[in-house]
This record gives sequence, structure tokens and C-alpha cells, in this order.
Amino acid sequence: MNGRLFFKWVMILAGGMVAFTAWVPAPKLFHATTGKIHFRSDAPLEIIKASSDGLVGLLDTAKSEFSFKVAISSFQGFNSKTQREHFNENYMQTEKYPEASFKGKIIEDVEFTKNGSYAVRAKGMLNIHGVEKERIIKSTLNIKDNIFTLQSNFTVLLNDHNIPIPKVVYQKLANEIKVEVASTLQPR
Amino acid sequence: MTFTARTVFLILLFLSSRSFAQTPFYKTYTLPGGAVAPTINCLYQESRGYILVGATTGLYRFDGVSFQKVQAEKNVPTDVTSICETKDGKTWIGFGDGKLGWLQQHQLVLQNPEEGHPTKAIKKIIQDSAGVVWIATAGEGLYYYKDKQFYNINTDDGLSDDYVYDVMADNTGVVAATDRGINLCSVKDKKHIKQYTTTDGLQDNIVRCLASRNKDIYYGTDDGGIGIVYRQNSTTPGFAYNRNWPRGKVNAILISGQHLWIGYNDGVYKAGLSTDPGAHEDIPERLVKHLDLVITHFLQDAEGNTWAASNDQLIRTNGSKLQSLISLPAAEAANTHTLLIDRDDHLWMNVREGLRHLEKDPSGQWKERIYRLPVTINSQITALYEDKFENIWIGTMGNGAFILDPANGNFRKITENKVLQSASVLSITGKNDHVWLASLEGATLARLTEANNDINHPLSIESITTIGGIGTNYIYNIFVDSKDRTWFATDGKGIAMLDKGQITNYGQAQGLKSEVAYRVAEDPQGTIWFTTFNGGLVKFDGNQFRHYGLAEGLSDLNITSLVPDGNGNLYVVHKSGIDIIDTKTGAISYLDAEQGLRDINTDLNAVAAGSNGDIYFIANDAVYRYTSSLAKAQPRITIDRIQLFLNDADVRDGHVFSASEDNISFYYTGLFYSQPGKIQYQYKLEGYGEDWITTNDRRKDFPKLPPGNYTFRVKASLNGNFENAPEASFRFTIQKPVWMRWWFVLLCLTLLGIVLYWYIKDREKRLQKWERLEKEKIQSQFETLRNQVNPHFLFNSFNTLVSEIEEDPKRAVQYVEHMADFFRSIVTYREKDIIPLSEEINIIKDYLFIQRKRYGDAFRVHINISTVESQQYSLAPLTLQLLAENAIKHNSILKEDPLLLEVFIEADQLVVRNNIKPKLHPEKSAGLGLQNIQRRYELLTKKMVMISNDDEYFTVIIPLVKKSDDTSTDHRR
Repeated sequence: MNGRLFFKWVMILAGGMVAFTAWVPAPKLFHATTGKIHFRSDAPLEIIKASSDGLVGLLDTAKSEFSFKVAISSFQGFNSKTQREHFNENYMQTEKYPEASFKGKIIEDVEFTKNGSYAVRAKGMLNIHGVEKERIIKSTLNIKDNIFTLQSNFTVLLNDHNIPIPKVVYQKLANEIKVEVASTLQPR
Repeated sequence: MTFTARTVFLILLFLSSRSFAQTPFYKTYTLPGGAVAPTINCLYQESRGYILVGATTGLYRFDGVSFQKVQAEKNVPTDVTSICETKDGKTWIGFGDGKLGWLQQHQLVLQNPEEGHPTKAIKKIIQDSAGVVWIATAGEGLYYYKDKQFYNINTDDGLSDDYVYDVMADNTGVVAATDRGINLCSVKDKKHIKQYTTTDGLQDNIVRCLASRNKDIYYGTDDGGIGIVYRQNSTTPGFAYNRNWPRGKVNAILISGQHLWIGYNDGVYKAGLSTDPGAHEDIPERLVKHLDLVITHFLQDAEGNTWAASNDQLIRTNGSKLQSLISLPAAEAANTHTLLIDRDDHLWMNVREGLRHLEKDPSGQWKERIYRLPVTINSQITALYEDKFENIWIGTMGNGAFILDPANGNFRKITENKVLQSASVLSITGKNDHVWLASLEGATLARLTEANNDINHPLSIESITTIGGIGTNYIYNIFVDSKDRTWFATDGKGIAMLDKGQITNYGQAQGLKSEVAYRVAEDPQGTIWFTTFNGGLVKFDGNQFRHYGLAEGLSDLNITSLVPDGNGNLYVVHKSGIDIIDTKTGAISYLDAEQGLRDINTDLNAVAAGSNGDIYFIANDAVYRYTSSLAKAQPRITIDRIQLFLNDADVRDGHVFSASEDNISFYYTGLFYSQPGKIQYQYKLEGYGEDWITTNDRRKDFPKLPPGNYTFRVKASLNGNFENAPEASFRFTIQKPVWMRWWFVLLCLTLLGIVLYWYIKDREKRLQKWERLEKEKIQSQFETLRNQVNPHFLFNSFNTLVSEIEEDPKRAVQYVEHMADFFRSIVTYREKDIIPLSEEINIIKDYLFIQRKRYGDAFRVHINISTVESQQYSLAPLTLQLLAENAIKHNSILKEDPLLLEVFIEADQLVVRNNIKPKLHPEKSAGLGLQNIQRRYELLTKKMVMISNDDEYFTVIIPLVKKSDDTSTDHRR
């Protein structure tokens, strides 16, 4: 191989690399680095609340699609040990349905590359207790330098997910459960 | 404007500060189910009239009273989400799991498209004007079905989102509502999609439902309320009340007349519609109030009712055909004596302060204005009339009449006529230049001139109390008909008619049951109708009076008011409701408690017709408007199913049943959702009975129908008047049983003919055969006889006899005995067809005895037949004798060379043979004997007699007849 030709190849390769590094593509896939979920049931006789740090999720900004899930067993902070047992065994049947998930799309057109705060609606299938329910959940999405913080409050009706409330504990468990979600997402 | 102290009063102007809303009527129906009623997803009215209800538990047919679940094949899902009947008569069904099905006759079946079913819920199925079927799915975009092929339109084709909530087709194209805006789709040459999203001004990207009006698209959103897409300029403004009235997601919208119906998660709402959405400031009126009533779908039926489907119930409202316009305080509703709708469709009514005038502003809201009148007359207003100059005439009780100029509020009392000044006016009517005032003081006629445009210009008034021809001064109503005849309804003197100055009275003498008449009206056919006290209606066609009462379908005879709408309908008002007579067909429909009406104001003048034929009246403490053009007067009737021996039969009109299929049942339904309880039926089976039979049953069985052609006809009516009632029919034939059908009879006759012909032919043949046999026999007998009495034979025999007598007289006697036996045998047997072989042997023995005398040992005969055999067989008589004779005849008989005749049986055949010793001079012979034997046997046994001559032996083989089958040989009959 003669030296000139080698030099030419090096130049072409170097040029190519310069061009490649100059075009930095915006990241498309984000994953949750922190994910907190908290719920609260305000029944007349008993307040049940618990939270979990185990929320994991992905957001594909190209398609505006997302997927979040949490292991039911990761919920902590019940009033008592018995309450937690009831929660896992009687209501959620955690062994049978170990996870709750929410997968879907973001309705609003968000410019994910632009910093700002966006009110978005996430529409998808909410799966709790093995029962899927189509939901539109309003959320706030804050974007700052490719770091997304997502915040959302919504309610879950136990009826919707076939979670039985025994007559005895009717006064202890509300049909309407308030849920709060907060998550930080970073490029993957 | 000049004001005089007497005539000018202040006009108070209100800008509709009062709320006109009040509880509207609705009726609920609950689907059968367990403790929790199933959610109703969709509603659809079939072309034949049934309302189909798609619910989470399946598909139901609703007849106005009950729900009937449609049977489904195995594997058909229960969650019915959409229904669409296409032009080819098929009904598509969409399911929550994406499957598609058909509603066939009485069963729900799955479609099995080659392409497979969608896997996401079917949200809507429609058919566009070109016949293409469109299917909206929750996640797979749109499908369209064209030329028996499914095609998909999704985000790859430019659809803004694959989740499609609703799809609709109008004459400009197909519109799809998605999670990311509205899409206008067309697929003429290639898929073309135009999107409308929030960037185009859409209220919200999630568009959940659509409606179409004047080419514009009305849409309901998840979070942004309601808006319109104007096709012309592509703007998409929202309704003004979206801003101050966030109600959450819109589940369903429907446009009916001038109203937009909106279904939310908490009930049914209704908003007025105007061309400018910015004008929609007022929040919609809530019609159905239930906290957790999630409305899923709307349907407007063919009768003008609006139906709402929900998570709980099916809801029927009166739709836009019957509306409560303005609510009134109870006392006001009861004290309203007169209602007037003027040329501009403004409402006038008497109120405590004077006259209330109501008109709709451009936004569709009612604006009120009060014309104050002197306190003394306010409570006395009885009648209102608008003359040709749009001035309002006011009749009072005991205080005469007034004229009001609505333009400036000026009014004056009519003082030109003395009688009128203090008259009690009961009604004011008129035509062109004439205004008639009916009062307890008689009839008064005012003739208008152009100058009377000004209310202050003196009127030319004529009182006709003095004419006296009417017979009484108590006059309720005056009516000028299309022929310019004037009719007077009187209290006590029936009806009087003034025509060309001549008054004719009609009373009891003319057949009127009651001489108290309240109201006169004319229908477009020129028939005069009037109401009588407790006597119902009377119809006068120009010649005779006909009472029109309960039998004709009126629901009450105590009629107070009668108002024609100008479109051929007569509104007959009574305490319990309003009967609407369609004068063209005689059909009567009803407005009553089924429509939520009660407390109808039955004041004589409290019902009025608007310029377009709408009827206004007061009920439920409100002014109601009924729009007959949106309504339907007649029920529909359909034959649901036909059963054969109580099992469903899939048969079409004109079906031919076999003779045994003679037990037929018909199920039919009359559909009239506004008055489901009033339906009655009348049926007749033409070809079976000629009378119509009235019934409430919805099924009729005909067991044991004789063969014939039939037409089952059934009519439905709301009132027992079936004259012009809608009808359904089913023609069918029951065949005659096979043995009664013409072709079978013909076939039988032909067969019989053939058999007879064959029999006759056969008999003829047999007769011929018998004749021939007979002839042969006679010939044989003759031959035999001739031979036996042959002179040679006799001469020889006698010669022998002579020599015997000389030699041995004893033997001569024996000889004669044998001769006698022989001749007796011939005589005895010649008549017979066959004789036993033994008999024949006896004959031949006699014969041989005679011949042996002559030839001695030169002629020998060996008969080698046992006695058993001779008993067993039969043969034609004299056969052997003939053959023996033949042998003697044709051979030379010499002592040194004897002639040997052998007779024996071989295989059921008699063999007769002799050695051949030809004569030097052969005797002449015709061979008749042998021929005769041959023919006789042919006829007797159908077997041949074999004759052979081999120079050594002459052999004849004769077929014998066995005893067992000799019966068949008896041919004589």
C-alpha cells in the first residue's frame, strides 16, 4: 500500500468521524432512575397508606410511548404488619398478580428536546390485580436538560380492577384509592 | 310618536332574566340482568323499526316494552359495541374484543374474514353513501370493507392516531375521531387523509364523538368540551360555554332539530344550536339527572324520540318533537286563557300584568316582554287574534275587545259597536279583511280597510245578533272556511252556517247528538269538523254529519279545543291529553302521560298553531311545543318469525309448504315507541277466513291448514281504527298431498292405460293362439278321420275281417272289438288338446292289432315305456297313431325285412323312429300329417317337434307334457 493512498483513507475516516461526532442525536429512550409511588385509602374507619420506591419505567420520545410498572410487594409503610399482610394476601393477591403496570402513549405533542413544564395526558391500559382498564391520566412533565421529572395524581376504583372488598371491612377500605406518582427519567 | 293619557302605558322590557328550564320528561327501561344492570354500549334502529340494544351482556331487541335477547352461536362474544345495518340488508355487529359478527334472522353469528378479526375493540361501524363499510377500532385505526375485502388505514397512512373513537360519513366524506384529532378520510383513488388537531384550533386532541349538520362537524372531546369544524373555512371553534362550564369528557352527542344533545358521565344535557358557536353562552340544560349515570350513546328513532344508552338504563325522552319551552308558575299556567302564535312565531299569552310576548333571540333563547293593560281587564282576557296588519286583538269577559299595536305598545278599546262594548268575547277569528268576534252577545263582524293599519282608525263593525238566524246569541266560535262560508258554533242551537247571506241551521233534526258546539275547523280536504259538548267530534263532508268518537279512536269525548295545523292534522284537546288526527289517513296518535304530559290547560283558546304547523299548548306548568313534522303518526308492523310445528322456519314470502307442513304460527310486532301500550292488532288469513280479527296477541297459530294458497295479513293500530293502518303480510302455499296432485293423477292414469293396453293386447294374442290351436286341432281331427275312414284302411280291414271270419270266427270277433275300440277312441279324444300317454298307447295298441292282422311279423312295434312313465306324461291325442300310419304308408313292409317302429322316452321327449325301407312306388303325400303335429306341439308346448331322416332311421322327437304343468296347457276359456 503506498503512503499517499493511506493518508487519503485516514483523512476520509477522520472527516467521517468528525462529521459523526458533530451530529449528536437527541436521545430517544429514557428510563426511570427514581420512581416513587404512594397511595392512600380514606375509609371511614381506617386510613391505609403505603409507598414504594420500586417504580420502573421507560419512555420512548420518538413514538411518545411509555411503560411503567411496580412490584406490589415493594410497598412499605403500612400502619401495621397485619395491614400489609391483608393488602398483599386479601386484596391484591400479590402472589398471583405480582405487578401493577401502566402502558400507553402521551396524547399531547411534547417537544422533548425543549426545557419546560408540560401538562400531558397519558392514555393507556392500567393493569392492577390482573384486570386491565383503559385510563387517561393527567400528569405534569418537567424537562430540564434531558432530565424528565414526571408527576401525577389519580384515583383507582377497586371496582374497576375486580378487587373485592369484604363486607366486614367495608368501613375500612374505600372504593376510591388516591395514588401519587413521581419519577425521574434520564436518557438510557 | 304621540301619546294620549288613555292609551299609553309603559312597556316593561325584560332581558330573559328568568330561567325557563324545568324538569323534562323521560322514561327509563332496565335491561334484564343480575343485581347490576349491564352497561348499554350502543343503540340502533333497524329499517323495519326494531331498536337494537348492544350491551356488555349481548344483543337485545327492544319493542318498547321488553327486551328480547338475541340468541348467539357458540364462540360469539357478549360485549356488543356497535351495530350497523347496511343497504344490502345485512346487520353488522362489532364486539369489545375486536371481533365482527352478523345478525342473521334470529341469531348472532361470527364473521370469519380471511384477513382475521381486528384485535382491538370495535368502537363504531357505519356505511358511507357509496356503500363502503367503515369500522373504527380502539388501537388499529380504521378498517374499510369494499368489494368483499377489508382494508386498513392507520398511522402509516397518515391517520393521526390508531385509537379511533367514532367514525361518521356525510356526503362529503368519512370523518374519524381519534386520540390525536379529527381525520377526514377518502379512499377514492388512494388513501387521502386530512388532519385537524389542536394546532388547527381543535378544542382537544382526544375527540370522542361526532355529529354532522349542514356539512359541518360537531365534536365532543375528552377535556375541551364541544366544538365545530367548519368545512368551508376549516376553522374549528369551540362552544362559548366550554370556558365557564368544564364538565369533563363528552361521551356522545346528537343533533336533533335545533338542539344538540350531550351525554356526559352524569346524565343527558341539551343545548340550543345556532349558526354561531360563540353565541352558545348558556350552559346546556340537564335533562336526566342521576349522579352516576354515564351516558354512552344516543339514538333518535323514526318517531322523533331521543334515546340515551347508559351504564345503567335505557332512557327515552320526547326528543325534539315535544319540548317544554317556557315554565310557568302554577297559578299562571292555570290562569292562562289564551295563547297566540303570531306570524313571526312569537308567543302571546295573558298574564296577571297584561299580555306577555315571547320571542327567540338569535342564540335561541326566549326573550320576554310584558304589555301592561288596565288592571280592570287583565284578569278578563279570553281571546287573542292577530289581524292582517299584525295588530293584536284582545277579547275580554264582559269588557268588550281591544286592539294593540305591538310596535309601539299603544292600544285602545273598540267602542264603535254598542253591543260589543260590554260583550263577553269567547273567541276572535278572521280571514283576510274580516275579523269575527264570537261572544255571549252574538256575532260581530269587523271589516278592515287599509286605513285600519292604524289601530286608532275607526272600524266598520256590524253586529249580526239582530239577524237572528243563528238562533241564539251564545256563540263560542266563528269560522270562515275555504269556500267563504261562515260557521257559527253555538251553545244550545248546534251549528249555523252563513253562505251568501243565507243561514242554515244544523241541530238535532240533522242528527247532531249535542247542540252545544265549541269549535269549528276545516281540514285540507274541505271537510268541516266541530267539537260538541260530551259528544266527541262531528265531521261534515258537505252532505252528511258523521259522529267521530271512541270507535274512531278518540281517547276522550269531552273535547274542549280543536286546532288544525295547516298540514292536515287536527289537534283534539281534552283533559287527559291531545289526540292528533291525520285527516288524510284517519290515523290518530296521542300525546299524554306516556310523553309525561299532565294537567293540560283545556281553556278553549289555550291551544294554538304556529306558522309552520307546530302546536303550542300548556301542560305541566309549562308552554309546550309539538312539532308534528318530526313525529310519526302510525306504528310499524313486522312479522318477526314464522314457525312450523312451533319450531322456527326460515322461510321467505311466497314459500311453498308441503302438505304435511300444515301447522303454522306467526309472531308479529307493532312498534310505536311513543305509545307502546296502545298497540292493537288485526289479522286475517286470506284463503282461510275473510274476516279481520282484532287481538292484543302477538302470535297466531293455524293448526291443520288444508292445502291451498294463503296470505297472512296483520295490521297494527293505536286506537282500534284499522282503516288505514300499516300492514305486514306473508304469502304462502300449502301443497296438496302427492296423491291429489295433477301430475300424480296423470301418471297413475297413464300407467293404468299402459297395463290395460298390454293386457288387452296379450289377451288378443292368446285368443289368436287359441284360435289357431283350435283350427289345427280341427284340421288334425279331420285328417285323422279322413285317414281312418280311408277306404283303403277300411277295405283292407274288412278283407282281413272276412278272412278271419272264415278262418277263426272267434278271433274275428276280437278283431271287430279292437276296430270298434279304435274308432271309439278317435271319436272320444279328438276334442281334447292332450291326453295321457297311457291312453295314447292303448289307442296305438288297438291300431297295431288291426294292422298286425294284415302285415303279421313284417310290421313290428316296440313300445319301451313303463306304466309309471305312461302315467306321468301327456301328449296331443293320436300323435303316435298318426306316426305309425305314416310309417306304414311310406315304407314297404316285407316279411324278410320287417318294418320296426320303436317308441321310447328320452329326456322328457317321446322318440318315435322306424327303419327306412322306401317303397318302389312311393305314395303321394302332402305331408299334412307331420306338419299338423309340428304346429300343434308348437302351440301346446312352445317346443319344436324334431324330425330327422338319416337314410337309416326316420325319427320324430315329440316334446311331452309333464303332468305337473299340464294345467298351463288348458287354453280354453
